[in-house]
Amino acid sequence: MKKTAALLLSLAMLLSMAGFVHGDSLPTFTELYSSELQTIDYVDSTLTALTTFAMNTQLGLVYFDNFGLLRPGVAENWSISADGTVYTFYLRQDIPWVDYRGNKAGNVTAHDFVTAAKHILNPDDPKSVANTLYNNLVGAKDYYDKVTDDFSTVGIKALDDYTLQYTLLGPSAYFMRMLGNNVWYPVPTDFYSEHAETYGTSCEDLLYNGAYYCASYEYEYERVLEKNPYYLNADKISIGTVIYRYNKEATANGAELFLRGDTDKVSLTNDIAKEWMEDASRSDKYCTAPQNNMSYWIAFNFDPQFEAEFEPDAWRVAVNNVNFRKSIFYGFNSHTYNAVLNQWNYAENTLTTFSRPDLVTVGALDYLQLSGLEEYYDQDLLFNEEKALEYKAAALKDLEGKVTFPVKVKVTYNTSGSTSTRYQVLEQQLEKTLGSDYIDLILAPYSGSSFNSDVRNTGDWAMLELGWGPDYADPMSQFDPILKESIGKNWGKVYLAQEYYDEALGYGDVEKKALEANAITGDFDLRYTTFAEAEKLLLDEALVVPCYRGGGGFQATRIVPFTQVTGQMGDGGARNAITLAALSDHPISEEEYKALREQYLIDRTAARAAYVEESAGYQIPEK
Amino acid sequence: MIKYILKRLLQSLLTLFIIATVVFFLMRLMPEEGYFGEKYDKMDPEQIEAELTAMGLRDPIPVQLWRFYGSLLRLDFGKSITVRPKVAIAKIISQKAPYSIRFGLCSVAISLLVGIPMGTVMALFKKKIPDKLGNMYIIFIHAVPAAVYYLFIQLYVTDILHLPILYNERDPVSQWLPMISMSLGGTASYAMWTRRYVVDQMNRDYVKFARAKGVSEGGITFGHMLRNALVPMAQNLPATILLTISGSIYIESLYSIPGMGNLLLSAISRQDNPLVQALVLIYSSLGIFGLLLGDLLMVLCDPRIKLVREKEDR
Amino acid sequence: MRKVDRVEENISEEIKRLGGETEAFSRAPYDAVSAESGGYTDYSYWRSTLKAFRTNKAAMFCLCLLVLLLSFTVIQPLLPNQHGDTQIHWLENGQTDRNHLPDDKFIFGTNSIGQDLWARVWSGTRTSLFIGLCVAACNAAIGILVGALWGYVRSLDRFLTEVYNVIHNIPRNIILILVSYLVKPGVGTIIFAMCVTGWLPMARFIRNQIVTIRDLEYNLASRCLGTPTGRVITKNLLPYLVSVITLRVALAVPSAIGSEVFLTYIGLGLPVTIPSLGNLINEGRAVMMAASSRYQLIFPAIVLSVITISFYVIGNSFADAADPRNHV
Repeated sequence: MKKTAALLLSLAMLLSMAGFVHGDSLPTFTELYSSELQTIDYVDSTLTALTTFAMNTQLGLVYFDNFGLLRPGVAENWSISADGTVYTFYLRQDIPWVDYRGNKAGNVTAHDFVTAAKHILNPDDPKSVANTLYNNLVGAKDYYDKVTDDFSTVGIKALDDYTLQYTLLGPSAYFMRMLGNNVWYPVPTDFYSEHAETYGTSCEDLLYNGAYYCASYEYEYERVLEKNPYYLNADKISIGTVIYRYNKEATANGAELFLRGDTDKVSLTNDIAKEWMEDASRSDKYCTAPQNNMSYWIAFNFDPQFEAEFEPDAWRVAVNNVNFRKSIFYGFNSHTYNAVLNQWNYAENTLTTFSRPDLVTVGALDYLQLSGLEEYYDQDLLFNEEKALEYKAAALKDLEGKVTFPVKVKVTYNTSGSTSTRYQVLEQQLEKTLGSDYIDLILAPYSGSSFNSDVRNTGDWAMLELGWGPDYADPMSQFDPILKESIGKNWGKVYLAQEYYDEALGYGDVEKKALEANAITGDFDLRYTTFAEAEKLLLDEALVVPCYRGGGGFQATRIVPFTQVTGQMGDGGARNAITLAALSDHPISEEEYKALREQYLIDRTAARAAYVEESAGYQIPEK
Repeated sequence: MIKYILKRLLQSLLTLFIIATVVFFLMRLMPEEGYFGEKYDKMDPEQIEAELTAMGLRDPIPVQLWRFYGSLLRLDFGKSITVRPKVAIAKIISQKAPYSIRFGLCSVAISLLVGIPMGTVMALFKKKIPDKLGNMYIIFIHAVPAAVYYLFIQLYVTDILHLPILYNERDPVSQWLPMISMSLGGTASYAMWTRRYVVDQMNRDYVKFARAKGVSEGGITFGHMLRNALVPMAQNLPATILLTISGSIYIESLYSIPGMGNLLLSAISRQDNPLVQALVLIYSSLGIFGLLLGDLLMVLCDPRIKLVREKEDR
Repeated sequence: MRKVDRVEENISEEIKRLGGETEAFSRAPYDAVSAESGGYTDYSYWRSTLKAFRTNKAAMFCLCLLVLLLSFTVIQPLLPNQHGDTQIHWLENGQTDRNHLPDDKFIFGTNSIGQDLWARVWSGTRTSLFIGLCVAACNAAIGILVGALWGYVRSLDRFLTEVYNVIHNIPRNIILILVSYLVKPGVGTIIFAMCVTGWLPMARFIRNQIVTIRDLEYNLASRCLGTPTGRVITKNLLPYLVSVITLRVALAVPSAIGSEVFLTYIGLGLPVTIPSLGNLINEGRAVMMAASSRYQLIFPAIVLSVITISFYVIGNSFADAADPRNHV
């Protein structure tokens, strides 16, 4: 028995060694993933996993380098018309498509971008990202709605093989940044028509022009990416093979797989991070994980639609009182709340503003440091028991006789989600701070898989944690969930707040200010400053309670931090892609991380300064 | 007998038809948000309408039903709509099923080969050490949630024996542990029921008679008792074997085996109607066919059992 | 016409002839002396079963343990110095007293948001045992009723097989997801959800058992004597099955607790205000990879194991005791 076992073991070792024999000397990087892509048609959606795949395997007109700076990709340079609505791109003529074997298959041409738009806007096979196109391009909505079947009416044209022109609905402050998004990536024209039925269903059914090509893809098993030698920056690619290995239980056994060398990057749960901190042999093997694009806040519902037993009318009166809102704004301890998710570095993840930092910058200043918004941004924590009790006293005076205390607050939670533990902390913390004779949070369970449409959108709640990640790096996108003109009409209707409500417009001061800011397209400083004013108003009136930003925590990784490319969110988004990443021979420790981060911030400042000159050649005068 | 089998098979077609129809209607009762998952938040209402139309869900229900029956007749499962959009369901299943069947069959074989002898030994040594040890094992398997001991086996056994944690197609050693883990539950229940039925038989008169006649103990155990004891278990065996195709959720997730285990679950939660319908039809036809085989097997094992009412009753 | 039917007809005719509706025979009082000559004893099946069961020490121990456990879950909230099962404990700095290792203040420690695990385990045991017993009772009642009819009444066989095949082959998840839209989460809902399809395996099991024994000679004889179907089922078949049924029922309790975890995942779980063993184990499983937090899994798992093992041992011993052949 022992003998056979030994024999088989050695056989296994031989076999596994055979797996390592590669022609290429570049190292291999392995990462686990726990939920499979629905499709690898890289323009299908902007879900994180697909965006990552797209950024690894494709190159758009432009891309963002590791400092979040916009660089020309397939486009060599471009010109923008005087009215800011016509963008003309002059493409490089030497970017080849590569198939799943790494063989060249024609060049990327302007027609490929048109094909991509046609693919996305196809009214018979609609894509969830079609709105990104039809909200920006002339004629796209009509084509999508089948008003016309003439695609030449859409504002995207190949003037010749290597000249591409977009015509926008109006001047846009963020169109160039938006182009970094996978929605705007090219789709190979001839290949697409040959593979119409199966396009994007397997790695054989795609072509690649990015850093890697997908060499094999077995659903719920693994994806193997190999370096594309014809990639624009191929000389800077230092990882030869990237293996994405599927494991549904990656959160449970990922850490162990990392220690045994089966994977090169995992995020650590609170409890495992604790183990590693306390164990000398592992305490130098983890570092801080990057944050992502999401920001979360505790929302108030200004249009309560729930059963009489939870007293919706009393809630409507209470929530429209600024002192009542402020008592919660300052009475809510976001550190306690965030620690449920992120036990170790919750403080770094705590938000004191509605937008997350690093969304946009004006010169050296973050958007959050404009228009007096720094009053919030500079604080570590908004929680202030004294202030909260002051506002509580004021609210008690204001609301006396109008509502009966305690005010009932219906917090509806999804029984299959993870919010319930946080809500328990929210409930007991608020009641402890403000007194259970003042507010009474009631956790109401909801079961079923359509929480968003059945609860959030119908207003069957009084307070709720909501989260949003902007679609493009501009405050306008961050404002979507509170604006009437956008999805804000489903997310608690902030614009209904009575004190500021403008009957004639149907919305309030915050929205007025935001729309005013959005109308400014030429002057970025003014645009962002005005947006900052709107956001300050939002916080001054305590219409939302800032909470935390997504991501963070700890990870174990061999990727050298801050080396990989960023997405269209620039430096603020998560760095999931591995294009241009450098691989270390050992796990990055927290000390290394801190040092690298410091260095990175210095380099970034320098890079930003140099960029002014470098980018001068990107945009050329109209021909 | 053949007439009986044909009748049962025809009847099964009717059952399958009813199941397919019921599942079809149940899936149409699901809320529309489910078709979009995470994408739902970023889509305009018009887009949602457009996509539902493109999926064919905006056609009147009778039209959808008619189309569904049409595709059933053509034995065409169609294409997945949300799990792997545009990929033929036949392709999805043909990629995944072989893994589940291989792992499933091996684990059933291990369970049977270990469980039945174990149960027999336990019964023969009733209340002695082998029985007690076996009982401890059975109790352990029943008492500790599978999700917990699977994970511990995966971590500690691979560590001690230096086996790979994840299943790897290029490394045959990596498939042993998942197979063995998968068989643990089955082994326990086969052992438990074998023991119980054999104990049941031990006190029977025919056993006493056989012993009095001088039949060897081995002959009694294997020729008489075990044969009778296995009859009730034989009924389930064919269905168990056929349904190995459905895979094991936990084991496949833990070891990254690309089998069928999670397919039905994710198809339901993502509301991939064609995929759900196809899987339900496949699983139920195998289940029903397995039941028929089980009944036949039972008759083979025990001639006293009659499935058909014979014309001349003695 | 079959012979049996003919015999039955003859007998009923004979009865009618003898005295119309009245019984052909009347019950004689027990008489020890004449019993001696007639071979009749006052043997009582249940009395003997209980007697055999009582002699099994392990089973009696488990039974006591279970009774103690059950009573403790009821008494526990009344004891002094107990914390609420959802109350969060706070530290001076405003953070929750999370992952507090077991000590004097918190016997089982606290969970990841600073709730007392001791209180939660007992409250959870209470809930889970209640759910488990209800589900086992419902499933056994429906399962035995349907299974007995299905197995014995040949004319119902085809129909019930059809019903079984249809319900059995519709994935439980679809039904559960749809149920979750119709009802609000709660203890009643979870019991209902587990019973919707939970009785099927029991019914099928009983049916298979009955199919194997319904044609045995003594049943044939009973039928010949014109015993009504209901009586054959209750008096001839079910007692024979008592032993296997009890084992099944005993195992149904722990498995009901196990399926809570799954229902929580589907979203049909209990509200957070009602802890249960299933949910506690689920929470514990999330932290089990870190040895220092593993106590959050171990405590509820031990209680669950005690319950499971007790039910298993009791079920097995009772099954042994219930077998009339072991009574002599």
